Amino acid sequence: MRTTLIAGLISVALLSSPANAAQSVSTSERILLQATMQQSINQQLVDGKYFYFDAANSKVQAVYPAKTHPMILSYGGHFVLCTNFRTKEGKEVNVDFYIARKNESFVVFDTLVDDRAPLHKLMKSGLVKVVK
Amino acid sequence: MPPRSRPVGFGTPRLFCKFQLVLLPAFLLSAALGLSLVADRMAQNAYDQLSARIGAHSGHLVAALSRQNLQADRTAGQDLLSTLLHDPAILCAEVSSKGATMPILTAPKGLGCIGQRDDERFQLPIGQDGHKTLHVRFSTHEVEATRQSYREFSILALVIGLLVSAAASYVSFRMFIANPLGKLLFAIRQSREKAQPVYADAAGRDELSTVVRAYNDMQKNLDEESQHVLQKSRELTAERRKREELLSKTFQIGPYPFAILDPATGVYTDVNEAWLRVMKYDRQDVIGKSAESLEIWVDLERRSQFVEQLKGQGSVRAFEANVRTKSGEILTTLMSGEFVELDDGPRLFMVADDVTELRDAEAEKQRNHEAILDAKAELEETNTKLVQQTRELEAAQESLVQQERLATLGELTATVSHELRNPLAAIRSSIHLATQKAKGSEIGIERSLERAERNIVRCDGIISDLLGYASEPKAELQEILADDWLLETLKDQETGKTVEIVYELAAPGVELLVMPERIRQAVVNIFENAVQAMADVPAESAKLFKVSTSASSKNYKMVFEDSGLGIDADNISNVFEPLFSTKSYGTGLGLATTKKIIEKHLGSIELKSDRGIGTKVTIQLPLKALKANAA
Repeated sequence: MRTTLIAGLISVALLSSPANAAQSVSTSERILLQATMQQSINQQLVDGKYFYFDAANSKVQAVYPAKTHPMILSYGGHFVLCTNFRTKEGKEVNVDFYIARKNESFVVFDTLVDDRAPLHKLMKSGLVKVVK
Repeated sequence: MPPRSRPVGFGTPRLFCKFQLVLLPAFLLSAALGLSLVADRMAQNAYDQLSARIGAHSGHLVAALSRQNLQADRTAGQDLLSTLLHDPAILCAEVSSKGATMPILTAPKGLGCIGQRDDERFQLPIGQDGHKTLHVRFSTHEVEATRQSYREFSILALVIGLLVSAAASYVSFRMFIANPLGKLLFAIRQSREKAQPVYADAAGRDELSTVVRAYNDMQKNLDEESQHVLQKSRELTAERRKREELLSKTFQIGPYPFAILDPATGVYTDVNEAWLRVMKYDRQDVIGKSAESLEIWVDLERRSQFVEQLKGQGSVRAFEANVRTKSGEILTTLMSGEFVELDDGPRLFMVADDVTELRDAEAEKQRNHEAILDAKAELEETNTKLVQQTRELEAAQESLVQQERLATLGELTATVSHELRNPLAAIRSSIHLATQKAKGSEIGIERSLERAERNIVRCDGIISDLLGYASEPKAELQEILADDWLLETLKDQETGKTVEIVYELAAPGVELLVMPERIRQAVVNIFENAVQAMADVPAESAKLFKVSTSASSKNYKMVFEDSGLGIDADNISNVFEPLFSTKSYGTGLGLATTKKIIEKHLGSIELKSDRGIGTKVTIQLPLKALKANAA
């Protein structure tokens, strides 16, 4: 009995430890972040296409918005929102939007297309966390 | 092969209750914790989904509105704004212009967010200029509803899970623990009741099966060991019976009196034939009776000592005690006893060695030995007396012979000396006359006459010595002051001598009762001998004659030491013998006469000499003896 209680308390302590704590953002701000990202996407759409320069292949690629991820990541005082775009061939392309706070609203300051490796690296190192 | 055990019930599941006491709280705690975490995660997802949905709608709407000229086409803007209300979470929306008090567009149309106060809201700028802003109020009730429904579901799942897990654990406990344990317990009980191996079923590979197999192996080993022990026991029993039979025969026909007693009651349970013969009892007189009732022990104190030793040491060896036979005869025995564990309980084995004759013989031997010792002592005493008497007789005989010889010698010497003195007197007168007549003549015989005169004087001296030794001149005892007398005597002897006399007289005032002339002769003899002993000493060496005296309460001691050539060790023992002399002249009677004089005064004389160093003569005279004699 005592062992069980101790194990339970240790589990609770681990799950609520500071290592797992993340920046808390209100629902309104979440909505604003999502809306900011959508605004940014809409503003760049050309006949529904989202163009970007594929440096690896040295050519401009066109993708179409497909799916937004509801999860919001925090990176220092900034935020990262992830989306999936799709090519004509049906290939999914990851597009990550890096957003900064500007007064009472937000602004997209960088967009990484088909390049999620930096984000994964940051998540592994614990610098990027899920916003609660 | 013994029968295998049957499965039985396990009775009250206390072990199961103990398991559940730990298992259920652990399950509840971990399940509640897990469900709580999942509920949080679900709520988070719901918030994320809500945010994403409203954000996407709002973003699209703002993008669309920014492309519209809302002043010109307000209806299109109104329609676009109204699409927001398709989202159930959005309560109302308004587009306002900077500086205006009333919104440009409202949804629901004409109402807007009037009356919506407590809900959450956000605003988005429309277009790049930021003059128009979209205000949206939304509700998170759907998230709370999701959370609530999940909680209810979780509780239900928890209760069902608890019941299912309790039932499953009970069934599995019965199946995997209780039943095998029950079978094992049944086998153990059966084995105990029947006192034979009973094996339990040991199918399976779990730990309990291993325990059961170990139990079966143990039972098998015990069975084998039991068979072995049984066989060994049979062999030992047979061996024991043989030994008991042998012991019984030895007991009965043994030459020593044996008895077996019950230590609890002290009664005889068995005695052998030797015991009956020695103690002169019949068997029926002894068996079942105690030594106390038969009055076997003569000395009850010795019996108590025997019992004490037996209790303290567990056995007693050769304990001497007197016992009484049936006829009243007293026997001396050496008793030995030891406790032995027999089938019918503990017994005391006692054996008695009759040493009565031996003790009598020893006493007789001791008496004979003492008689022999007495006789031997008496004989030795008689022998000692005989030896003493023999010595006394020999001494007396020797003394008589000596006295007789001396008397004869004295008588002869006195006669001869007397007879010689008369002719010598005539010769001396004649020579004196011849010397008178030769004076003044020229015949030249003076030297011859002088030599004749000296030899006559010498002969007269020899005769005086002989008479001095042999005769016992009458002399009066006189009291003298010893040191003064000795000094005066030796001073008279110094004249014309080349010897230096050293005096250390330490007994002034001591009086002696002596015959002075006789003592004077003794001292002069010692002095003359010393002077003669120092005559051959080289002229450059000192010629000392040391005289020292001392006195004790009983004696007066005179010591005379010279620095002469001394006497050879071989001759020292003879110096007091009459007629013994190492010189070419003299009679050899000087020291003999001296010793005689000293012994006449009841004193003693002792001489020590070292060749080349000198001679020391010590004389001791008693202070009172002669005085007592005189009295």
